[in-house]
Amino acid sequence: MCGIFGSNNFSKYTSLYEINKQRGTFAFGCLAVREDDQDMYIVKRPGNIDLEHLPSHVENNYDVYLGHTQAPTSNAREYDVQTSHPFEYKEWLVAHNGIINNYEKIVKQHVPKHKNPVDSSVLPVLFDKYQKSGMAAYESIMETMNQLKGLAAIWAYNKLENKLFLCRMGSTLHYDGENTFSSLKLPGTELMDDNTLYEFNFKNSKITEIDKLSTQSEFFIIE
Amino acid sequence: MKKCVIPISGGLDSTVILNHVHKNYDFDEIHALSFDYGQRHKKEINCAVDQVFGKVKSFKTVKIDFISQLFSTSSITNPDIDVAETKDVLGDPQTVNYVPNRNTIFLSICTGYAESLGADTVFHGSALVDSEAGYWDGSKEFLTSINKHNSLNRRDKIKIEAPLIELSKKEIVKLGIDCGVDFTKTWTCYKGQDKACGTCPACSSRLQGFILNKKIDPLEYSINIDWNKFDCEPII
Repeated sequence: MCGIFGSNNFSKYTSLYEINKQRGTFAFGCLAVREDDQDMYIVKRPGNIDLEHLPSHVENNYDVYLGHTQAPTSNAREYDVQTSHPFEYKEWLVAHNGIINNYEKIVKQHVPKHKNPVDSSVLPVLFDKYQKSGMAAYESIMETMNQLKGLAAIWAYNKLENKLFLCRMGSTLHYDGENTFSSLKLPGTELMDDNTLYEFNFKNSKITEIDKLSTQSEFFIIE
Repeated sequence: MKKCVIPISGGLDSTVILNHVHKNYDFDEIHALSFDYGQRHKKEINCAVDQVFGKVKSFKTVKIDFISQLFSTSSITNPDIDVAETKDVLGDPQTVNYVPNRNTIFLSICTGYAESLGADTVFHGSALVDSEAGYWDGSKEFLTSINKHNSLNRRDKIKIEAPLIELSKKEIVKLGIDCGVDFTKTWTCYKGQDKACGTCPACSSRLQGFILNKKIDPLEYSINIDWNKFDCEPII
């Protein structure tokens, strides 16, 4: 369990990273996406990173900057790029904050050849499986998330449709009503609806609701 | 003679287990233990005293309050640390509400007690939500590991059972209703004020369990809960 965050603004992104470090200092993952040519910049590093040391072309050259701060899981105590966020599989890049309690069952049932000790790793694999079966990207996420037992806040980028999605299922995820989101609450942000899939729209840089999951959270939350 | 040991905090889960075991298992003797570990409040223990009446062969409150002196990082044992609110900590790897290694300590004491009584089973109150709330010592992996550890015992094989470990709060509340649990005599809130806070993780999951069963939790909460909005009715 960790922290996820993102913004269309690099300066805001830097602040978000500083705040979300407290959710996990074991590793950091970053994905920046430019919509028109689908250029991506991906970084995975153990521990913390100084964002000022990123290549100069990264700042302000992408439409969205996404981050993940990772705490060590019980199944991955040593840093390994294969067990760190974002997890990439074919057309998908995914970062997850939470826990998938039925991970083993899901793997056995749907993708028995999948081998990775970290539960989050199965998400892009399942998204891909459903997308290949003919589902739209958002339907693939819905189909997957509705089968999960546990907690999740994710960002998921699909290269095929060039779309970015956010989903909250139990884990905290706050947003400013426009284009910035974070696991930790920041001034001016509110909790996003639980059990809900959102899209980060590149065109207008806004986060909008797409659909409701059929799952139910274990927690009743009043802000 | 078949005997078991049940640690009972006075919270919802352990109370449901006590009633479930009393009603649906065939133990000749149930022995209950509560722990005074210097926790933030004693409301739970008072509830435990009410709950065990007529259901157990023996009930003891064990004083191990050195825990609160040694384990100062938890909001439950250190009153100087605020209890974390659900909305702030969901997905947190280990919140300040976690008491270091508490379940291992409790279960070790219960297992030793079971050995001395000739009991073969200890019940453990962990539920599905415990893993989700970040409690590693409430997980299935923990249960498997501690049973493996106990199996090293060459003579007295004590099994730790956790009948709620795969149940959602909705299912636990339903089981409690079916077993006739008096929910007015349970206390779940971490804070221990006059009324339950309704916003700590313990309250949040309890409330969700009642709401999803469309039942009104008979406890009083300091926040306003519009039970009508969720079509909830009193437990009869």
